[in-house]
Amino acid sequence: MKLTRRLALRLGAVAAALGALALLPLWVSNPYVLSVLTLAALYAIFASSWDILSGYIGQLNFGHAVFFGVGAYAAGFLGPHLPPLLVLPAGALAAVFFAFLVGLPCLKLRGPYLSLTTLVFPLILERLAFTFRDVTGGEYGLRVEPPLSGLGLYFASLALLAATLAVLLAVAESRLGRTFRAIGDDDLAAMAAGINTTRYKLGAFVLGAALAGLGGVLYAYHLRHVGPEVFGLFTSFAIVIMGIVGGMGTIIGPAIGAYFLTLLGESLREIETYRLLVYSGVMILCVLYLPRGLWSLGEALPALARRLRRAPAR
Amino acid sequence: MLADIVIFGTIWGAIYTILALGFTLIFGVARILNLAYGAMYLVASYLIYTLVTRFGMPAPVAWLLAVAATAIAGMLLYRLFIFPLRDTLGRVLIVTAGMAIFLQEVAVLLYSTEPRYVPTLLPGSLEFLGVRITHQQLLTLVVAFALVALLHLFLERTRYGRELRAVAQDTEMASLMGIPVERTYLVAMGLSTALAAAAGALVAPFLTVSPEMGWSPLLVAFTVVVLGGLGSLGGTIAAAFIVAYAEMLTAYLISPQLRDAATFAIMIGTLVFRPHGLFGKGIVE
Repeated sequence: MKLTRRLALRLGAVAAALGALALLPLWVSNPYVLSVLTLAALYAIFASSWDILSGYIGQLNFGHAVFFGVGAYAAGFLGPHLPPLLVLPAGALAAVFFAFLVGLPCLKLRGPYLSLTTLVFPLILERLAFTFRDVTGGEYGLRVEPPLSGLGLYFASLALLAATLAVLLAVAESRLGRTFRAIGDDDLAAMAAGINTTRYKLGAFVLGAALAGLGGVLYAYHLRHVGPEVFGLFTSFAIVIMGIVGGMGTIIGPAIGAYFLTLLGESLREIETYRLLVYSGVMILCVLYLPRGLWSLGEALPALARRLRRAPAR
Repeated sequence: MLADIVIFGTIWGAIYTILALGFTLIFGVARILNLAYGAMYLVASYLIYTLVTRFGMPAPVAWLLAVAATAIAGMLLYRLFIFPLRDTLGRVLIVTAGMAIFLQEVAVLLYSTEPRYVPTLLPGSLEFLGVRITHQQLLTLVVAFALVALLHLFLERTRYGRELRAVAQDTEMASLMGIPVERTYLVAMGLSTALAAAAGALVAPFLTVSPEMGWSPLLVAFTVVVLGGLGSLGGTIAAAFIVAYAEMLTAYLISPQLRDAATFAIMIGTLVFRPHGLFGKGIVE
């Protein structure tokens, strides 16, 4: 893997932004603010890990909640029995198992058929979690005892977000990422060029799921609880909305979208019940007027700066 | 219990038939997979609730008004949000999903998440084979069959119907023959939403009306279309009844909470093992 200039630039920007967030507790000690920022970091992990399949290969996954939901339930089931450092890989492993379970039947499908099929997987798990209540606790779910303090969880989430973004950016900028993009642009052409599209699609499922599964464990620690609602329709849709608002196919964009929408949702606290109203409204506006998301605003900046620099010379 | 399964399976099969016909109509004609389809069912149900309980309208008037208003709303949504994006299937999917969530949250805003009740058109019930069937449920069955027959006549016998079928078969050729394709899409969208609204109106009295009620009909309609294929009325009806009986079997024999899961299993199973549907003329290319 080569460290291209673009990759170095993006990794540097991520390091700067996350570094600043890591220093924030020096000035801000309000636990509520830190808790919101922890949640934003976790959503950023989910949205950027969603992006590798949805943004790069272009297979819109409407059911990413399966992966982090399974990670969260893994924390609920195993938390009392395993040391915390083993719960994390167990969550990732459970998510990878489900990546095969969801990925294998979905490999034959593309476009809207894949999207609707991925949509129903978390719904099936939701129904099962409701029905088999002696294992899952039914609608009450399971209590999760976090092994970390709120501040510790904040740093753990940031660290996992940093690792997620680094891994995904490195993959996206590598030959592998170009192959993903080629499949996304035209999978028939990619197949004709000798690319085993099936294997790459499954690979993207597994990679995204493993990272989301790790995030799911922290998510359960953060909420101190895991219940069927983690598989709800809107958990999955919230991730899709964050990815689209942030800018699909850019890894960083969905993470920005996650922070933007989480903070927007919190700042409108009096209408918190209507969080999804705001989310879906912002997304519809984005699809119509800013199809490449907030990220394209960032891309427009250098061009704008160049134009401004050139202007005085005239 | 067997009688329950057969009777309620038949009633739901009839409802699923109209739901699926509306869904295939817009998909077959315009290739639009409308995820806001279930939201139209939701809009119609809340309209009826509002017209009857807040404005005191007589029920049949409210029913007709709600279906007509929802159809117009559907055409408006098509014009404003789907039309500009129609060339990319993925973005249509996203924007219609966004609309579905948005409309649902508007319902939460206006009516809260509390379930609402709509009075029945026909009170009373009768006993048949030891099963209590309400008159409303019988009416639903009759109206559903009447709607299917009317839709069939419309598609086969009228000028608009012929245009719709021509565009569904070959859009380019239809356009070369002077059929105004864009108008056909609008007609298809209106009819499609009217069918969703009619289904909503028919079941609202024996279900509760709540903001998240739109998702289940959407997924059922999609499943029936996947199973039954496009362009064959018989295939759609057969698939609708298969899904309805499978749901009732699951609900009565295993657990009522797993009713939806049966539909989901059929959807995934069909897409994976028989992507061309039961009758060979599937929607997956």
